[in-house]
Amino acid sequence: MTLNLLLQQLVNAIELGSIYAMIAVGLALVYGVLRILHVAQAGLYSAGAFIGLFFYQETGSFPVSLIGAMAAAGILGALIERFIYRPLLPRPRIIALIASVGLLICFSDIFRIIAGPNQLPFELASLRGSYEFGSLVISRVDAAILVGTAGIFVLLWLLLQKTKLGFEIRAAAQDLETAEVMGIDVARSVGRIFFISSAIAAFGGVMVGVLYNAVYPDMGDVIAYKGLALIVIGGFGSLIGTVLASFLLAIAETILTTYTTVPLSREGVAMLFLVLLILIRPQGLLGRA
Amino acid sequence: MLELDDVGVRYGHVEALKSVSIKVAQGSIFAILGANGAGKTSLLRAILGLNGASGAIRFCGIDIGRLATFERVRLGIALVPEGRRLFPAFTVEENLRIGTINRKDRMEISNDIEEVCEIFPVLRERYRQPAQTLSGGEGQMLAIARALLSRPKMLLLDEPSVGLMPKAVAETFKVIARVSKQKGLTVLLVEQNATKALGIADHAGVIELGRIVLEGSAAAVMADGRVKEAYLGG
Amino acid sequence: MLGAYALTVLTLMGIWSIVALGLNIITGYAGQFNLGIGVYMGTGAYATAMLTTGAGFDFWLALPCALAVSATMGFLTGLPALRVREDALAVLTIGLVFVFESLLVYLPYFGGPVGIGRIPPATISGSPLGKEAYLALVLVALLLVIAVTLYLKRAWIGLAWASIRESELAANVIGIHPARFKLYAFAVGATFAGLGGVLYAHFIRYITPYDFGFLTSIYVLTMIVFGGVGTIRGAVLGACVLTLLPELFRFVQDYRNLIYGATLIALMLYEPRGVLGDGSFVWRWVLAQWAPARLALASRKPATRASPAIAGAGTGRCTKSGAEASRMRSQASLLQTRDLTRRFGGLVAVNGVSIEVFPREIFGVIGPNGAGKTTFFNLLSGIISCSSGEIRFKEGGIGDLAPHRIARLGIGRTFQIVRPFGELSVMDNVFAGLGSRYCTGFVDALGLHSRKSFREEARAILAQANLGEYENETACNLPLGLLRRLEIARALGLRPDLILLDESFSGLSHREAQSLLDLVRSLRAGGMTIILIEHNMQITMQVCDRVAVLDRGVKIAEGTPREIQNDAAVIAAYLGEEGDA
Repeated sequence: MTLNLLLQQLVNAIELGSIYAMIAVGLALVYGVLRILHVAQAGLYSAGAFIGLFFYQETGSFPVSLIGAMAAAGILGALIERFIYRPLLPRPRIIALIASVGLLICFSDIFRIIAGPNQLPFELASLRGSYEFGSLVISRVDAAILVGTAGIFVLLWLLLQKTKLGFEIRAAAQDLETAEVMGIDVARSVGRIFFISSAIAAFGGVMVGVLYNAVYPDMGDVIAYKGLALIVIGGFGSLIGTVLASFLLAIAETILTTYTTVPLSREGVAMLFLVLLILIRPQGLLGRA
Repeated sequence: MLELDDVGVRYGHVEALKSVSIKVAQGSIFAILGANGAGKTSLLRAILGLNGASGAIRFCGIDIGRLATFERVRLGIALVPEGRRLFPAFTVEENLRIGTINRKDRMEISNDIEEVCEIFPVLRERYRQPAQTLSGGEGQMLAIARALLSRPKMLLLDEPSVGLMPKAVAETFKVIARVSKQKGLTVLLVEQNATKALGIADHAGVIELGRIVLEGSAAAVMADGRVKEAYLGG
Repeated sequence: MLGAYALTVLTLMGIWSIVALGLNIITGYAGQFNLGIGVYMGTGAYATAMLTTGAGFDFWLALPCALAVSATMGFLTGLPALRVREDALAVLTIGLVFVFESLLVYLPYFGGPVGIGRIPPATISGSPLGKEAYLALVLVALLLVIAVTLYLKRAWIGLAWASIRESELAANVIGIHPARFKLYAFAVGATFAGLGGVLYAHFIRYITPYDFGFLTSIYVLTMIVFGGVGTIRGAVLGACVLTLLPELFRFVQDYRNLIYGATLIALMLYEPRGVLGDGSFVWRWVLAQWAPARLALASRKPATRASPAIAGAGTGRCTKSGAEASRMRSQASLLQTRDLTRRFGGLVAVNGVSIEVFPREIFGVIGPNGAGKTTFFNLLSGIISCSSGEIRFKEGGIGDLAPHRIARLGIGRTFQIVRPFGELSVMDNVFAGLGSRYCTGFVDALGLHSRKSFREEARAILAQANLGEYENETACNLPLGLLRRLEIARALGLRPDLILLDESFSGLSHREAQSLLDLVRSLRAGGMTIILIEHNMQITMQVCDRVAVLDRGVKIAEGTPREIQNDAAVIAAYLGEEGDA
């Protein structure tokens, strides 16, 4: 009996971890190259959910909505980089952080104004129902998320390791100026990084919207500061560290909220980890001292 | 091949370069000498567009003053930065590949990598090791190889002797001279170590406090007592 | 008189101004980014709410208790802030405010998500204060906070904060203890914010955890960023405008967040110093309107040139003679390093360097690029610790001391890349140096630095460095030559016995260099010992008594300038070896 519960919780934790990892990896990519804490990423996450819902209501086709949402968010992200972050590069990084917070606040309010403050349902007829493995139940949506995020990670890995763009990104993350001196168009690479990380965030937004059957303006809040915590815990730009931190946090959250009563919300748990980790190991799990 | 005309660089209060004008002839090795802080690195950074310099810079007759750094590099300039600036987490192989990032000729690229490993055998030994594990001299070889792999028309070297043991310094200069003659490469070399640099250069200039104070053939500059003065004072 | 609605808005404007002034101390003055001021405001509010509802305290008794708790909270949250760098600090404060909000919601003692209600009003001799009276109370509190802030700005503590904000490293080497003053800033800022929280609690009389969370903290940050970071007028203006606007314009209330967000973005892009910050477009316009008045004010108090109170100021070229050199050697050495070594991973930057420097010597350290000279200085001034070997100064080992302790023992230094306190006046830069001598504890830190005796001492130092006429200039407006002299003047405040000059002559014109040379000579004539790192050989040869040459971390030669110039090993190190081609 308890084994099944454990397995079920494990599946939940992995699913949660995958979602966290997807958002956080985009953040880590951005931080790795520009050293900017791109809190507004959560706004692109919500934008994905809203745009995806809109496309679905218009076209009735989920694949189209998903792709459309990802593309739209990608373009939005690239625009943000071009017009807000790029002018701020010469200034102290804290200024970009404040602008990012401002952007996030704007996003939530824009959604509230356009779509109203209430939760909107996002139900997919095609993804109703569930699979059963013994007494383990996985809904079709869960499965879609697990497969989808795994797919995205694989694609991202292939992009970074096997393509020219990925190579350029990895070089720029180590030494931005030298990458430029080697003839890499760093500005263009950065624009592409934002496109990719925003598209991934949008994917997360759409899938979470479907999972909880709820799309609402503040849905990004949960993820925004948790994402920050994750890249800090993971080690300030280390992609593997961020993924590791995401799964660790998801497991911790799941265990703590199921088996114990901690006087903390889920955000609180993440933030407590953050505070404790910064105190013990200021460079994060896999960061360099 | 390269012409600087009245180039100046300011960092806030400080005028790092004042009205520098030089001409580097195609296929020659031009050495810029001077003590630290004299403005040598500012000169190279100005050519690459990294410090907002004033004045005119012409490469192969083209005015490159308005081009972004990566655009200037793609015209055929390669830099061996001061302190190497290798990508530390990349392996030797990946660092070499970065040199070829803008080339499209697959066959030629693998030939070139072969060739470069012949010139610097130590690279083949350490092919899959991360660049940060290389010693100073080995790293310098990698940095030069990386620069050569873009098949540049002009090679810029920023203080190649810094941080190297004397033997590695001698090696480095031998290689630079050999490779540049072999490929007909134009070389602009910025160095503190005057003797070594003059040993391989065709022409030289001496910078002091941002200005060129002496210029001419390498032999003439070497014979001129003012070089020692510029370095060691009266 | 005023309607109830107007009274409410004014009271809130006052309360938020007080909280904003608290954030101003931490972030504006001391430069410590804090995105979680809600923690301190909430601490004050909850402390007074619990004491008055749970323990039956009177408002006037609960007030000081709540302030004490807020100060403690500031101190405690400041401790982790000491260990992290800027990026991580911002994230840490965000984390703290989320944890705080979370704990308030989930721990039973705090009333849960519903919060605490029925908070008793403030009373005077039994009867509750009406709306007008409460507004008066808030205004009195605000004036008090402003007065205290103004006072602190003029005290040593304010100067220490400004120094740390401008350059923590430079502040450290002139004897300012960075950790201690950062904690003071957190404690004081938290107290002000806590006061705001107390006044808020007894005004609204119902508080929930969500009132003091991240969003609230961002609102307050927006207030000081809008108004002008680091200024009192900015904090108050920002708080008032951003409290008033939603009330004045209904549509602002509806689109409140959007406007806040857009304001933040626009500010960061175009005017990161805030609408009324120093140097902002609006503030410069305001000054231009009142400039005539300001000029008149300034001309009534001309900068007086004090007569040089320190012997030997401005006089003396000294002659280097053999007799003097041997006289120096017979005295005990002032500074000694023995086998000083410093490794960075595999690289040995400084390798077994042993030197001895005698009182009133001018000792040069030279060497080609990458020789380890700056690392050597950083070891001497305590910025980095040595891997092995020892450093003795005035018969005591200093190898493991922090930079500010070493500064207080009598070693001053300048930096290769100048680090003046740019936004402060020349006079204040020198005061900062004096501060470490007069400021040995919290109580001293509260003393005013602008007292006459300190002014005179500062003026004497400025005269010695020939900077007297620039007394009121903002440091960042000075040309490089003067900035190098300013760094020396700042170090002189410590009355050091030894001063380390790190490439102070680099980037100077010939004239500026000669003038600096005169200053260096006059310092030595006045009894100081000087070690300098230089690349400019002419300067080195002109002014040094003895020179040590480093190459790749090792001392390869030592002697008089003449000896060094003709030393084969030295020539080889610089110009390269003959043969071996």
